[in-house]
Amino acid sequence: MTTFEEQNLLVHGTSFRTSPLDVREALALRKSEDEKLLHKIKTTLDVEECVILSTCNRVEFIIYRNHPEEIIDGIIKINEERAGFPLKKEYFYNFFGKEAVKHIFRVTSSLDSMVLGEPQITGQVKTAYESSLKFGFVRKNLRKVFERAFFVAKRVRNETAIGENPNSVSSQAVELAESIFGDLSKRKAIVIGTGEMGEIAIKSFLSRGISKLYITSRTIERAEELCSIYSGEVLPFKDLYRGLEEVDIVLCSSAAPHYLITKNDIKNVMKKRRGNPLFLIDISLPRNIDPEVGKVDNVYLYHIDDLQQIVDKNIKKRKEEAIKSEAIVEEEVEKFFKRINEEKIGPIIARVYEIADFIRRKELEELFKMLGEISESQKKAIEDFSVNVVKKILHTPATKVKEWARNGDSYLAETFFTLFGVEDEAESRNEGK
Amino acid sequence: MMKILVLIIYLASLLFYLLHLFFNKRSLLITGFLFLCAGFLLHTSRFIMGINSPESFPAYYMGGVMSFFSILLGCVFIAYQIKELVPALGYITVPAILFFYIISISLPHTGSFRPEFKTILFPIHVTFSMAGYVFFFLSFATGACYLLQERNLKFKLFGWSFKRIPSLVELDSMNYRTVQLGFTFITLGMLTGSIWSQRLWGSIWNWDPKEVLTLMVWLLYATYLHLRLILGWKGRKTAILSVIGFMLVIVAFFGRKLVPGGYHDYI
Repeated sequence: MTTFEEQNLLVHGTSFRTSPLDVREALALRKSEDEKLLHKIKTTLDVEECVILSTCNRVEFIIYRNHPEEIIDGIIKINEERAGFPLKKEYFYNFFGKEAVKHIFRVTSSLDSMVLGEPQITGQVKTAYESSLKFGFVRKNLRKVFERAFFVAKRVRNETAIGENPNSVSSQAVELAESIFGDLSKRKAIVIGTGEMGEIAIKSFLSRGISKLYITSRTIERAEELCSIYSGEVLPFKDLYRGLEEVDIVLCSSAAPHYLITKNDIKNVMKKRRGNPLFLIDISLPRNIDPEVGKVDNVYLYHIDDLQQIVDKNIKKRKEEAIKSEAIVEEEVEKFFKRINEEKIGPIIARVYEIADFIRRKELEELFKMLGEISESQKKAIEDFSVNVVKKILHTPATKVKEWARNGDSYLAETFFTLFGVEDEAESRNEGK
Repeated sequence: MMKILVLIIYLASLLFYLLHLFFNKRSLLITGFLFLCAGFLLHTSRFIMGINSPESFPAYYMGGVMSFFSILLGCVFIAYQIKELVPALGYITVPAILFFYIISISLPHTGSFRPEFKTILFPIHVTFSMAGYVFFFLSFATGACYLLQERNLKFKLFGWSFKRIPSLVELDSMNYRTVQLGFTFITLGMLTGSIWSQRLWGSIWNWDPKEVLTLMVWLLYATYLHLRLILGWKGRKTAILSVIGFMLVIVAFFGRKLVPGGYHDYI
């Protein structure tokens, strides 16, 4: 049985930190390309275990094989063929052994993400892992690393607040809407104007399943275009106030040079809304909604600056949480290798016990011959005695050796095995494989 | 002995709710809730064991009434929490359950109740009235949470309370429902009370101080419902009304002590 060998693990990849977007786009996995690519890597580079992680921010090849450093050029070559243009070496990073494990843990826990703590990456790693598993490219070595990585990601999420506070203006707006209305699925929204920021916010609200979306703009063509993309309904600009009476959420990203909505307008609207709350988000510069509007009862007005301020604070908090998360990752990497070392030492310690037991039985046989006729109970007593002596003598050294191995003191562990003559056997076994 | 055990369990529940307030770990909240359930079950079984007949219903003296209130509050609160644990409501309700329990065990469990009062109608009258007060308490709790969250949103404050309070719309509808239920029960309590009074004294209304105070409570909540239904009041204004309403409930419940005389003088 071979065990996990640290030096056999390689992460070869490129991310937003090392390469431009067009390179990552050229390298990203096409739809259902993964199986073909995995087979190609297997046949050309003799790789048995491989996971390919491909997201819009990174493409990584996680490989377990003997002497993985030899195939780096090979992977780059395969990728050059896929991309159709030569790739610079500095686009890529390579991590081996402990560093590789740490990198995988960090990526899975969203500590290496462009948006720190964003939750999608864990799922993306899982999907990549499962598809490799399905095609038979994950054996026990990569399984060990990835199963642990998912555990670490879960720990980071549970024990730190890294993913808790929204880190973009649009998701913060959604969170505020939820703290007013709860479930957004029965809510209606209106978008005034067709600015780019407005479009981002529309997407966030649609992802929460709002039931109806009106779009109004003074240029009707653009409104129609947006409506066809997001299956909304065009509301003529003159009907804006009728819309305000009906909807719950208002997104204003118009470019008007003056206020489109004033306090008096909203006061009149609120009279017809029978006390139902209204949430207004003004994403326009200069403001298109009079700040006084926020003072009306049951009306909640947020300007983009307010949202940005909250988000800035959240990001600061996330960074603080990231420090805690890094400590968890460090701790888990140590634990991971301790466990691996322990697993490695297990069979060898068993061999020491085997040798001792062999000696014990041989000596016992001779002793029984020498003693001649003795009763069964006496025989049993002597046998139990010998077993206990061997066990007790070996107990402390075995525990100590496990401890050394856990801490990576392989030199001490080896010395111990040399004393028992196990080392030669282990070597000859390894060569045989 | 059991008295102290229930107290300790309620205290443990409160402790975990407080720990949750500071550390915001879900496991603390769940532990606190489980302790509350355990305390509630023990407390209830102890209460029920004390009842052998309608005459022994422990509602003829203040201690028993407090204990009964604490049980009903626990029962309704737990029922609300089973669907979803709302920490903010727990911070308010759990101390109240404990508070009323402590009052109940520190007051003597005997009273100077006139024997001719002991009819089956009396426990029914007390149960309806207590249930009414329990729902008014919960409308106070949801109203207070509403006002806090409203303040957070208006003034853009995102401190510890922001994430632990449900959405405004949910709070508002819960506030409405609890007032509706409270109003129904207090009405039933007043009706059974007047039937009872009719039988004993031959008149349904005696201008007893407690009767007058309760009528004021009833009128206030009737106003709440009226404003909501007819004028479409919602949110902050009704939340304020429900908070004021419960203040009046407290006056009606305890303030009776301040005015001598009347038929409710045993309490």
